[in-house]
Amino acid sequence: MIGKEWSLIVFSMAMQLSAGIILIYDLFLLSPLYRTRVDIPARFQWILMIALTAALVGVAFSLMHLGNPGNATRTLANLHSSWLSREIFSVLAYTLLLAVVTILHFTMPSAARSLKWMVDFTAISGIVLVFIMSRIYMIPTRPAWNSVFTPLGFYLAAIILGSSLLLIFQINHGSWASQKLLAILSFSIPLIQLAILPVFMAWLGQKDLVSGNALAIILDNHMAAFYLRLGFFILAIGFGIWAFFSIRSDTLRNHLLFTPAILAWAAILAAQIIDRYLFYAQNLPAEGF
Amino acid sequence: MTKYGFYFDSSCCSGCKTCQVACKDKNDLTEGIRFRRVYEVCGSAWEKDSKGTWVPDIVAYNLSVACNHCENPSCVAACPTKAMHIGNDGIVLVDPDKCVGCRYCEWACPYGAPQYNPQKGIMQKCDFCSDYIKEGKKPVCVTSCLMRALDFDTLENLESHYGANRDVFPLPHSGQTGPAVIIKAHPGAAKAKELKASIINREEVRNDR
Amino acid sequence: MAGQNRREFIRNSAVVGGVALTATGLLRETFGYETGEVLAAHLPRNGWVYAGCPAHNCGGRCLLKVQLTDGIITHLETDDRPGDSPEDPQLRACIRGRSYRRRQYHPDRLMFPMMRTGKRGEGKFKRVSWEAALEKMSSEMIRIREKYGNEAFFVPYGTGSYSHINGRWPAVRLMNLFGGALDYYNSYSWACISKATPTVYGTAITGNQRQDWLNSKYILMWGWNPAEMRDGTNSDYFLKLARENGARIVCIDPRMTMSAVALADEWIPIRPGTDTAMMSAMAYVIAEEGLFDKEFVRTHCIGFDSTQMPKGLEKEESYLDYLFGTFDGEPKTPEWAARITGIPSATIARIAREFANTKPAMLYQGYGMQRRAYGEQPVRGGCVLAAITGNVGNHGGWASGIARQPGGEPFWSIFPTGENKVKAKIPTFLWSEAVVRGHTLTEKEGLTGAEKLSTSIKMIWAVASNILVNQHGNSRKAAKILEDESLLEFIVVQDQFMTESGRFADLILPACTHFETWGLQDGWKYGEELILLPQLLEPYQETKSDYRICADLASKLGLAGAYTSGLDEKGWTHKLWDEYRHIRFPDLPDFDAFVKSNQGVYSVPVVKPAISFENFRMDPEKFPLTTPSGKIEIFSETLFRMNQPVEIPAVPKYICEWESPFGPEAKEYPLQAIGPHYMARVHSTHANIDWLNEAFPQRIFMNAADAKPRNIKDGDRVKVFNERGTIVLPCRVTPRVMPGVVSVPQGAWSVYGKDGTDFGGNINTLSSERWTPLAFGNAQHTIMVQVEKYKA
Repeated sequence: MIGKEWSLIVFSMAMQLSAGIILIYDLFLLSPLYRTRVDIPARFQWILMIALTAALVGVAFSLMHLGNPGNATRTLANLHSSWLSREIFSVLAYTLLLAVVTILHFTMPSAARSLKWMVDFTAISGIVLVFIMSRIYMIPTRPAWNSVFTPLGFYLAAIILGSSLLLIFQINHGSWASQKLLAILSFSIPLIQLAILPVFMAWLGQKDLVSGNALAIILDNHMAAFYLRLGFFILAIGFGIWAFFSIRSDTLRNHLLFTPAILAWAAILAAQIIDRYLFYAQNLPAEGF
Repeated sequence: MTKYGFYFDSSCCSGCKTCQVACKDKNDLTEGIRFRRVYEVCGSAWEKDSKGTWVPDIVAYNLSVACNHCENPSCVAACPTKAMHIGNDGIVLVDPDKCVGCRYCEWACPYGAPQYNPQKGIMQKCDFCSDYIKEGKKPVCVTSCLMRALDFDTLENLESHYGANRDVFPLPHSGQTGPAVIIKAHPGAAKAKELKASIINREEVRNDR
Repeated sequence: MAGQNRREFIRNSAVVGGVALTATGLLRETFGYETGEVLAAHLPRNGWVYAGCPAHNCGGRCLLKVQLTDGIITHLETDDRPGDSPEDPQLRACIRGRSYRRRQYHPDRLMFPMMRTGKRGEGKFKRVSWEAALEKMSSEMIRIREKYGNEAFFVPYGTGSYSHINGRWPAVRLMNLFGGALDYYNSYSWACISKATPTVYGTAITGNQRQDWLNSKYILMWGWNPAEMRDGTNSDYFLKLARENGARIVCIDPRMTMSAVALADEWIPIRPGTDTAMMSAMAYVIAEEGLFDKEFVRTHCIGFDSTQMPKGLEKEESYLDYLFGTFDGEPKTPEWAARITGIPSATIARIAREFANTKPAMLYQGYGMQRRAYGEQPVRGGCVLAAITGNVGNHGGWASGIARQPGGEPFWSIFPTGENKVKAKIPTFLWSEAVVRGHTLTEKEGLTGAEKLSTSIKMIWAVASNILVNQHGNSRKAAKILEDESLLEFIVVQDQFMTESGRFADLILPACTHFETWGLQDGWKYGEELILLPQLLEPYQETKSDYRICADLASKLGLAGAYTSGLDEKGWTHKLWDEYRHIRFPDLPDFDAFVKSNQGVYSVPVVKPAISFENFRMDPEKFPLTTPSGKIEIFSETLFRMNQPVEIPAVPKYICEWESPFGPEAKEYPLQAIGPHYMARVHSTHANIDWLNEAFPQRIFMNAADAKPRNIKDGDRVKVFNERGTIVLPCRVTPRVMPGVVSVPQGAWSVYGKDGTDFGGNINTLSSERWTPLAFGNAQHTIMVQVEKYKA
């Protein structure tokens, strides 16, 4: 049941990672720079490169999900009514924008001011993309997916994947404030996800029979994954807090942040992958049809 | 435009699945692909009485479901390529030249009608045996039914013969997509909700590939 | 899984035989024959041909409409004759017939004769020529006849293929020409009911034609599941019509069967093997409350009460004496029966009243309840209930019992098998005893026609038969018997697939399918029709029809002329067709014209359904029954004189089974396991068909009340075992089987692991070889088991 969804797991996580990177980059890294009017540093170029690579990987994996990718060009034919059509459109639009912005980062590093609005625009298109991605799953035939928990989960995943990665990028360069902010996100988002989990499960359990079955499937058939996810969430929170307290205003002691930031990022990535895996495990049709 | 429909009498369906296999034979469907599926709905409360004998309060019945060629098919709305479309006479069809094999219609259809063919990488589904309709014959599932529980005709004729009911537990409410199917409910269906009935033969009807 | 294992097995055997299989192997891997297959000019290559559905031992006899494209079957439809009236309904084929393409073009089909190379049962074979195969077989036959005589030969019960000219009948004909072979009587299907019904009525023809069901107002489907076992094409449909006509239908069965779901107004779960207790309690209520048909009982029955006992036996226990406990002190009240059957006493009393007060009423007995420890008793009990309520010989009634229909004879085969010079017969189920200790068998083991046998069975020629192992009681024990080469000296298995029985053969003869030869079938138990099976395809690879194999063997034995009478398969079909004109259907059209017309079926509309015992009901003095008393024998003097009152009582009694929830064995093995017919199979035929296994996978069915304490969830693999064996299969947790009972559909092919665990889920790995006291019938459904979650 899960086997066939691996491509979707990679696709959705890669796109959300990319959108999250751009969003966090825009808010916490580029904005201060924009105010100080200096050139875009080289490491920002690499951030953009990573975001673009993630988006391209996502696009590639989305093709792997298709039984007949030869017809992929036709998928924009039904923007009128198909959320999938819209998703593919927004994936392409976002990736294109990102590619342009990335190229400009490399070719015009001094034009931070004029790049800023383009990054803003890309970040907003990323937000839209994540929403459209979640809309795909909000269908009455899949009760366990059809709720606000789906976009909530996707947005939280995007933010945490982006912020925890960028924390690493900020270790030796970023401001004390941005490090603190990113570290706070790195443990508070998993904390929120952890807090939402029992609410979501309680909601599943009481909603209807199929949702109840979806819950039962997680608890019965994917118990190991379920607990593994819990474990990684807790680890992520722990490493995030550790990272937070490792941040010193003294830049010479920046290396203290390195270990917890890397560990936090690894635990977060593991937790999110398992979370997404379990999300697809809840692919149970309404009433069993 | 003529609008066709199926009639299904759940009250006498034994669940023999002859319709399912007759369809597979006509359409050369490999294992795992079923244009018509027979769902077993069952719910019960077994109770031990004061003398220790077991007394069942039980409902069990079958639902033979193909594609209902809905008026507002959610598969058509969901399809990104417009491969899934409403053809002549309201028959919902897949254009194999356009289908990208994303399986989103499979998620969207509340009846599980679109079936993924992993060999071809595209979706396939019931077409009401269009070739038979052209010859004036009924679909192969209808003429296969041992209990004469299935019928096919224009919706108008079906409604005048069998009434207009399109709902039975646990099918989604017919208002959702406007299915072209007339249903005679099994008498047990009245107690289905009370006895927490559900489809219990998932291993026989789902396509896991 | 079974299919794969078998495929591997055939590959392995081919490797052992050192035969290169590349080309043919490739062919087998494809769905159909390769293009370029040369087809004979006389066969149709394109178009629709009507042909009988290969019935194997199915209860139905249906019609297929076969689409041929370039000599390959590309699609199967069914009877589409216009009309489809109750008098002459369409003979619509079920899921098994409709999936026949998957059997016809199955990659595992046997292709050529094979000789054993390893030990018996090891499954190692090498390919041999037909010449070598038949040379070996004929020389073994001659050797064994010289050494042991003709009683050493046995052609066992085999129902995997029959259409008059196919299956075991041609082999029997050859054996009889060869001097005869040990014969058998009764069957695996209905040993008890065929023996016990005549003890009440003097005949097996106790049914009415099915169109008469539409006249009934109350129908008890007692352990009867026509929808699933296909007890006659359209039987379920006729019940639907009866219900539409106002009949109330009640199903008494341990399982809420497909028939119960589709046809019954009420399902009453009953503990297996306790049917006679329920019947007795119903009779108690009916007698106590005076609801019986007093006039009919007085004039048409004997033995109901002490005033009706045969001369000289007036003091013996009458039926009323049994019911009221006059002799044993135990009145057979609903409360008494409730404890045994698991049915609330109020329900028993209510059903008794409903059955007695609604006229006319039918009590239709399924055959599952008589493949049990004392299977004779519920047969007689059901007949007695029908008799005392006066439902015999009337429209809408039903005399119960085996219920073959009037006018429907013969329904088995009319292929002339000739005279068997060996007069000895054994009960069919006791063949394994006759292998182990044939010379010690006497009438105590049901031997007839001879005081004793001169030899044990030394050669078995199993044609279309999987009873050597898979379908026999206690199949692991049967396998051990077959393995012993000092017992059986030669085993020939003739079949279309490598069955579990085939694995134990010394010689495998590959038979073609029904589509590859000519055949004929009538409506079996029901139905006024004659169905033609014309040859549509050339036999696959080196396969031959059962008849052709026998004819070729006959010429090896110098019996060709006597055997064939100069006729081929089509010639015999023609001859038997003409025979039917004399014995059953006087208006049957000319054979050649019928073949040319491409109709497939000749049917006679039943406008006025025939009723059994109509004359007897009218005037019992003028039209007496063939029982000793000429009346319905509620008390049977014949049985009384057998002097085994405990196991063969003269009136129908509930007898606690030898394995039951009430015995000490229930401590270790607390669950009753029953092996019903499965929609996906005809016994073990079709067990390897993907479309059927997809629709109805092999599983054990278990109530949550039993599953939960064992920590078993729906879909779990479970281990089912008793002291005879262990099977492993997935579990369906369902409320449609009563607590305390598990259901393992019979006929799955065993797949043995190293320790003897059967991963194919064949219930006969668990069943017993013990036989019933009166009919010497199989009691394979009487087993206790334990179930656990399986841990690999």
